[in-house]
Amino acid sequence: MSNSPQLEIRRSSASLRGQGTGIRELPVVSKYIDTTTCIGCKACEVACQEWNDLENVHTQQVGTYQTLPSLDANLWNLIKFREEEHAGGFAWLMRKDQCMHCADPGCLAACPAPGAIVQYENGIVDVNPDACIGCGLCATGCPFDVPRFHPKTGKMAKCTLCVDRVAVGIEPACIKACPTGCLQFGNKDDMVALGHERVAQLKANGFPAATLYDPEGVSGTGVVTVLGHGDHPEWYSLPADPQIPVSVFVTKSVLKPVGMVAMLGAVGAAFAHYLRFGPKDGAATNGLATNGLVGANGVGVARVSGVAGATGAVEVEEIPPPNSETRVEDAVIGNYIVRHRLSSRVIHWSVALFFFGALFSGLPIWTPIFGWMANLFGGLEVCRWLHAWLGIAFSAAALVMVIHWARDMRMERGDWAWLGPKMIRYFRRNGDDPDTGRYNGGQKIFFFLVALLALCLLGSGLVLWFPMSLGRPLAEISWILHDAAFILFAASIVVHIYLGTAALPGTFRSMTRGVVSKRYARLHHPRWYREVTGDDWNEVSPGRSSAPEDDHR
Amino acid sequence: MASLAATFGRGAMTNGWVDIKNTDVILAMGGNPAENHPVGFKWFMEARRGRNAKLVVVDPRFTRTAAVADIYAPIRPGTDIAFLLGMIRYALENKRFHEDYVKIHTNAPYIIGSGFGFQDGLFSGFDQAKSEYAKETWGYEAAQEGGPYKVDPTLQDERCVFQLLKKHVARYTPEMVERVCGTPKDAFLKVADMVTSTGNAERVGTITYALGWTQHSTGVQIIRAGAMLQLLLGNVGRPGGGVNAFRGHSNIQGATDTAGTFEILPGYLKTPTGVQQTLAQYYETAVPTTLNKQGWATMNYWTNYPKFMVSLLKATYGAAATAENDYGYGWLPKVDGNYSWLYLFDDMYRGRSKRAGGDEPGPEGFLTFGMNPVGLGPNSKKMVGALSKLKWMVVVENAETETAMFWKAPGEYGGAAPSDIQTEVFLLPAANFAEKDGTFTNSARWLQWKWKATDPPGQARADQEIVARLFLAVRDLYRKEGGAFPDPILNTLWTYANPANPDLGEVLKEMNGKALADVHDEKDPTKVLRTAGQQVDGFAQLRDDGSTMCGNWLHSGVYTEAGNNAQRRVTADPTGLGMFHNWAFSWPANRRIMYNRASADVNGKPWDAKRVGIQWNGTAWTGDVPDIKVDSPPGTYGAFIMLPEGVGRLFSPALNDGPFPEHYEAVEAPIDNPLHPKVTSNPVSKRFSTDKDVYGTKEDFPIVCTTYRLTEHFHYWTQHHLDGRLNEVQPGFFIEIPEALAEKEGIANGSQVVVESARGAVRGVAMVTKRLPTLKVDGKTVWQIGFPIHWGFAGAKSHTGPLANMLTPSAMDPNTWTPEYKSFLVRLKKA
Repeated sequence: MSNSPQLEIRRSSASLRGQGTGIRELPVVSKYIDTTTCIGCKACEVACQEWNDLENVHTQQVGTYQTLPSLDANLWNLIKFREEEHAGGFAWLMRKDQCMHCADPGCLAACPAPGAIVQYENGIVDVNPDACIGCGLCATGCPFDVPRFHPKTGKMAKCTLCVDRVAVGIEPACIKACPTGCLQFGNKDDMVALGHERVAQLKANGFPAATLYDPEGVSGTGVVTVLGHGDHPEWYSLPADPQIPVSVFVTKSVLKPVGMVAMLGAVGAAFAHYLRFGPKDGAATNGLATNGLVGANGVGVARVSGVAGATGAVEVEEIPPPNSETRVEDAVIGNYIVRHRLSSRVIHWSVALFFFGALFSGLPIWTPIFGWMANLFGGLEVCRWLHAWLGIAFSAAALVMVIHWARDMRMERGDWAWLGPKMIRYFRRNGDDPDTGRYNGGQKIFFFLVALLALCLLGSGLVLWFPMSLGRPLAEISWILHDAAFILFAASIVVHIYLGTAALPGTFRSMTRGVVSKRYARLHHPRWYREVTGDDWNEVSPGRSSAPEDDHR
Repeated sequence: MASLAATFGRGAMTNGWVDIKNTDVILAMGGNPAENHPVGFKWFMEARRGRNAKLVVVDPRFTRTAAVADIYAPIRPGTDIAFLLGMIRYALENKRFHEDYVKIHTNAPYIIGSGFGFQDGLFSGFDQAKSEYAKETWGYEAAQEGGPYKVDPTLQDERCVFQLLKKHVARYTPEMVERVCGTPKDAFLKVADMVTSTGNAERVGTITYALGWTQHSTGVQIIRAGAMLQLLLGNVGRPGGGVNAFRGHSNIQGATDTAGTFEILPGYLKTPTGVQQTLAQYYETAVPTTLNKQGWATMNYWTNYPKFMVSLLKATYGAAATAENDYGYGWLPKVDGNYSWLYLFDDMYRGRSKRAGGDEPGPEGFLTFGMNPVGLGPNSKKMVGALSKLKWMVVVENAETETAMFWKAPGEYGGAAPSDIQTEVFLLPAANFAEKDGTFTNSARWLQWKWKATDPPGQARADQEIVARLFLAVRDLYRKEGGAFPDPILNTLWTYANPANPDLGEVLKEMNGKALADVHDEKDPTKVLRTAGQQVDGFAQLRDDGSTMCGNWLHSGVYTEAGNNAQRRVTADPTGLGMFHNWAFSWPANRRIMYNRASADVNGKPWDAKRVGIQWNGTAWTGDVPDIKVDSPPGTYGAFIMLPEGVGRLFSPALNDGPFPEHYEAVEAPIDNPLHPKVTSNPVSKRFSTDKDVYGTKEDFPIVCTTYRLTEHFHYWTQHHLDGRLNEVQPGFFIEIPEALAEKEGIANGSQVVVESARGAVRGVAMVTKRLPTLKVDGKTVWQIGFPIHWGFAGAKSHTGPLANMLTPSAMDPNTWTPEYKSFLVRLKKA
């Protein structure tokens, strides 16, 4: 756990600069483990703890020689014992388990914290506690189940290959302590040569399947292991063909660029749409639509709303101040209709607030491109826990929202068509649906999409909060799901914001002041307008073409 | 060690740790070196990697040593003699022994007197009433009274040792080995074939053992069988060969060398007995008569005994030791009867001591240093009971051990209530090994100096200071009050610079010895070898006229005028065989391989030119420090200079239970001896007779049990290391149970079980394993279980556990009085 100044870094986790900071090229080092001469004495376990000042782990005798079932944040080196009956007789196998220091480290690939996992020029893979945020994604990326979360430090912990010793030219503590010489340390080429020599000797001595374990799937490891029974690496609790998990590839190499494109694309698309179609405010048919602040008398702000009546006269009317009437949705107050009562708006903005909180605290974890955002919260380590809590808050708010709007969002006849032609027509402004009620089908579908994505984010987020507790398959699935869901969510939100602001003037006010003008209602939600006012839309907006009847048959 | 002395002349590992790398075949039997000697085990692996040597493990359990072995064969605990004699038979029948070696370096050609015989499990001379052998018939036959002994160089005479041995082992066929040991015949043959592949000049094999051979009622004879096998294979004295005893403590070899037991003085000189009132009388029995009068002579190095003895007396009594007073010989205690510690505890327990015809009260006080008899003694209840009878006890320790707190032992140990125990206990805190200087003498007989790493904490003191202060206080009492016999105490030489805390370097110098007057060359009296006051170079410069003093002749050479040789750390190894002559000091005389004369043939040419022990270059022996007179041409002396006949003993009258080993069942065994059911166990093994010394039958206790150590712990000490790493990696007591037995009894791994013997019960976590094989013995299925020692009722609560010795019997070997910890009967049940 030392960021040794003597060693240059070859690769660093979540680095925007990419590979290679080293000027000098150091030979790659490796441990050599000969399981056929290991006697399981555990001197390496003790030496490792002593050198690295690790606390004792509480253990008790449960019927095995093995100290613990697997590695621990305070036990980076564990002899794994196994009794195996096989055709040639009986074997009591012992293998020293620890970080394998992969040439292509899955932990480093998976790690979201810049510089938290580094690979030095000499091949040692190390955790830098200054940068580590304790998220545990490295464990998900590791094909050997090595990194462990240290509850006391809140950081990940694993074998450092005694980088502090190696940097000053001495062997790792475990090697030093090994009494039988089954552990050796040196340049990898030499260790591999030693291994091949030993394997040849074993093959001549009744171990035809002897092999040197240096798996290609991770481009070789910084720990090469002589196995007597090379055809059964699982007897030594080693994977036959370790690979960086596919989830790391999907999230890092697929979802990341796809997500960037999707989110930037959504912004671009909104902008392009605006340029092409402009705001939908009925101005094209009604001549005038001016929404905005026109004046301030120092006492209050009056909103001037231009509404084209049948006579073409311009009315200027105060927006009704919050009172008992505005608490009732669908209430018609002068030229205004109450669209969102206060509670609705509070719920909406709560969801929005928590969403953006979670988004901005999550984005820097997602990719270092947004690393600067972490500063808004006090650093990436804060984001690591804040994101989780904001996510919970968002999910809670979203749940309230779903309940709150559930009745309004019942899908009606014709709504499903919004998945297809209606949506296209909507964006192309090719005529409106006169039967659009309080919410159009697109809004409803968006609502359900949001609810579904929130559920996905919650479920996967909970798993990722404790990625090492629920098994790696679930963590991997959750990782992919979380990324995919948030990308979809974020892109959708871009569209939502665009529609709620620039594209459809008046919408934003409905979420701030709670009211829309009758004209807005007539324009966007004609059936709702009719229902709440009793007016016929044709009288109010004679210039509008009628929607084809068969659209909602 | 007794058996190695009886066979080769000296009781120690013949070769050395590093030398194991030179071997072709290692038989690890009666030991688990990977677990109990993991650091030395490096050389096993070195031999495998470097020479493609084969490691053969024979053990009741599939141990961590077996895990890295080439060949493993299971064996029933306590049947090693049958296995080894089976291998000797295999070697003889199949001519897989080193005939040239056997003819010149062993007593195979010697004719044994016609009175010797063996029938129905008993050797000639058995005294039924005393359960002892009279050894008169166990001797060589002389052509005429006082003349040379008869030999048959062709090994054909039916009364020569070779033929007698052949006849003796003829019963140990592979089928009999399988029947007795439970080792499948093909597994036995595989082992025999591999081990006897070294019975020639080209190949060398070594045997390593430890307490798995020692701790039986036949322990010494097990080791002898191994030593005999090595003699037959021609593996003794050669690099890569030998019988290598692995000691159980870092300095147990040093303790033994320096009078560790009651029957020896430093350097294995004998403790005088009551009938030996003068030095002359003492020498009569202590100095062996040279036996060999034909062929080549023997050096019979023990003829130098008086030099060592007088030098020891001078070191003990200084100027008070004069020729006139027999150098103070009269002040030495004379010992009649057995004072080994289990006998002392028996006296304590019974409250009576009956020795040399006397009958007196048992001991009332007990002083113990660095020893935990309650933990390590067999039959824990008796140990606790014995200490309860004392008036006082002083325990010098660095932790409060089971011994120190015996009076509050839990109820299951059967002790009286603390309020009923009158023993006054003093616990003196002692420095541990890292808190004091001194030497460790390892199994390879290397005296290595260690430097103090840190001061002892609190009031803890180094042992030498505690001993010195006690001595000075006792001497003061004698000075003031006189007492019955003050001379031995008042005349003891005590001239250390700091009498209350002697420097151990000074003590080592004293052990090395120095000239008190000028020492002259024995051949050329004009030549002065050492002037008065100089440290001697080695025991060859010691004299029996009082002109030298030496605290331990065997260690002489360790601290010469050149300085403290135990501190040498030169890593040069010109031999390439790992002898490292300038690393520390190896007794005797810095020799690294004992009996190395046997590494060469009759002409002094090495059996293997690549592994030269020593060789004759025409004028002198070169190579290792020769274990023979350096300028004596080949053919002058035999290779085993410490034995009166000068050759290795295939037939040895020295031991108390027979000149040849014979298989006897353990005192508690699951079957009767198939070879001679009427004499089933060792007829001369020693047992006690108190109410606590009870033994179980195979009907009540059908399961064989053994005890052992774990690599993670050191005896009963490391469990005191509160929250120590070792308690983390090996957290508590467990009982290993074979999978099939567990299944039969419905015992799940990790569940609690109880094991009971006739003497007590222990409870612990079941470790169900495939590593304990089920054995077919004499036609019936025999289960064996086992558990480690290390835990006890002392120490922090979280690290306590039952004492394994709660269950072990106090039946003993008749030569060394070592208890049978390794094989006894139990029954097993779910807790």
